[in-house]
Amino acid sequence: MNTNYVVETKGLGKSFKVASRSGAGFGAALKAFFKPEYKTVEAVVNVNFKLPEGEIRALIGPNGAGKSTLIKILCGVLHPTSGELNCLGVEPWKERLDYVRKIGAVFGQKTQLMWDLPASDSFLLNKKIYKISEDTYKRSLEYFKDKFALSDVLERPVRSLSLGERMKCELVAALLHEPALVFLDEPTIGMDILAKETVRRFVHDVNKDKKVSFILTTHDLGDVENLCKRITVINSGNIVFDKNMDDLRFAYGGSKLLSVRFTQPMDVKKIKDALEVSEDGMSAVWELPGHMDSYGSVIAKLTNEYPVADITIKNPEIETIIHDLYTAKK
Amino acid sequence: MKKLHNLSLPAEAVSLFFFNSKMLLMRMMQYRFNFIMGLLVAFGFSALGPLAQFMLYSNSNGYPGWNWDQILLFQAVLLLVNGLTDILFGSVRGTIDTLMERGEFDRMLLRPYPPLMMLLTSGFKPYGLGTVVVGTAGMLWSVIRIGVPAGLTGFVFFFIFLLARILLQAGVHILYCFFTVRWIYPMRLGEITDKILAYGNYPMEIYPIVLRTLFTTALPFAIACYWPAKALLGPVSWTAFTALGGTILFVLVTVLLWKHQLKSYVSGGG
Repeated sequence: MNTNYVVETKGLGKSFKVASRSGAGFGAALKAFFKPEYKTVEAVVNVNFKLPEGEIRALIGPNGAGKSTLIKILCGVLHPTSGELNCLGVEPWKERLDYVRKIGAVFGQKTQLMWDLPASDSFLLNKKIYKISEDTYKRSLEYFKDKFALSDVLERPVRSLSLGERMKCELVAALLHEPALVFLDEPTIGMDILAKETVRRFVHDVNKDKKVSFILTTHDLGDVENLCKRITVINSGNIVFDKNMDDLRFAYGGSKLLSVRFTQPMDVKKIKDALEVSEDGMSAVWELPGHMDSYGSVIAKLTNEYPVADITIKNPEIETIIHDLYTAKK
Repeated sequence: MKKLHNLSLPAEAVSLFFFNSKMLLMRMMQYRFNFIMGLLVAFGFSALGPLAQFMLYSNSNGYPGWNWDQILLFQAVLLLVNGLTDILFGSVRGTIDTLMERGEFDRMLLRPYPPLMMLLTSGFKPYGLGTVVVGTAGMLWSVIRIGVPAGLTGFVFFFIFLLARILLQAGVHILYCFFTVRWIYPMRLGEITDKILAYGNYPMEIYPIVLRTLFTTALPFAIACYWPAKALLGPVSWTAFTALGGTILFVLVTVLLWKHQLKSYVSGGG
């Protein structure tokens, strides 16, 4: 497959044969022991996916949707059962040893750092394994140390680092060999809001400075909103949405919420068609269609009818949109 | 280019083994008391081993066809090979067990080396050092007492069979890794392989002819200690080379099994 993309898949599929047992209890276990039954699970179905160079792409979906299987195929860990795949000019599972030199991977719940030693020692192991030249190693390490204030962090045993500090070190370990493509799986899981911000800034800056492409899988939609312009949603092994965030809001956004604060308490009975009105009559909320060309006429009407002090139009929460997308029928 | 890459792999494996060993030592030294106690216990246990053997064999008839000095040499060689295989591969089982139990084997596949090489080069276990020191000392003492009847050739064959013994152990660990990746929990497989390998801890003369043939061909356990010790004691017979061939074949089969298993690896969920 000839491609201008960092990653391109055509009709990619992966199925597994998994043990299946009918019923529970010892009898069923005994039956399965002597006569095991299997069923085929289609984990990834006809996936067409493209990632241009230098993009941060969110790959999201509910648990069991096929995200991890797709990521493992793209990483070269698993081979597909059907379809075509090209990552950085090669088929990952066929040329895995050469391919993995060009990629990085961070799995938020699993570490590649040696727990007992400072992260700098794990970096030395990566330097050895990825055959990173002394110049590149020094240059990369200096960049990360300066950019993300890592000087103190690198010399302490990993076990004594906070989750945010450890994740920064995980990211450095995945980036030291200057990969063109990095897979991030739940990089902010379990972090407080400050640590999340730091990790997001880290990814954003590396993407901007080093033109590294990222594929981000996460359940934290804050990561998606802050880092990605485009989002790919996978459900039951199929890609169900693959467009920009704005398109997502437009397609699945439903309605917007218009909140009005009044200059004086209003008689609740006189407020027409509101979704909710505060008890003191000082504010009200109206629901508006999500796809209006202009909201000016609505605002003008409200300011004519009521003593308006302030107006806010809120987009629907991204969580709501994604929830609708996950639960929508294929 | 790919062929050149493959040719450099053995050298890279040796280099990676030393690097990984250094890292493991650094990790162990983080826990001073545990590290020092571990080394002391390993040395003490290894030193007491020959004493126990002395008491056992001085109060028994020993092995048929072997005098006391030869038995001591045999036991010293046994300690040396056990120590060496422990130093080289002692941590392999623990590593693959942990990786599979935690669902972290994928990490091996994200490294730019064959996963088998990554596993075997992370096998260093320093506690085998005491056994090697005691085994070497015992062997030298025996050699000084009884000499090396086969001369320089004896030493050459000794080293060839020693390398074959190490290769056999690598094969056993590859087989263990194969079963662990296949079954996730290979239960008592490690114990079973240890018990089977223990057949190589005795001179072949004690076994009936059928087992002796088996241990020098299809299951080449005679290479474990018998032939390295025999090489120092006199000219080796052609059956030694059958065991050598059997070892190479055994390792090739385990590598093929591993490669086959890797192709059908499905990874963990999540």
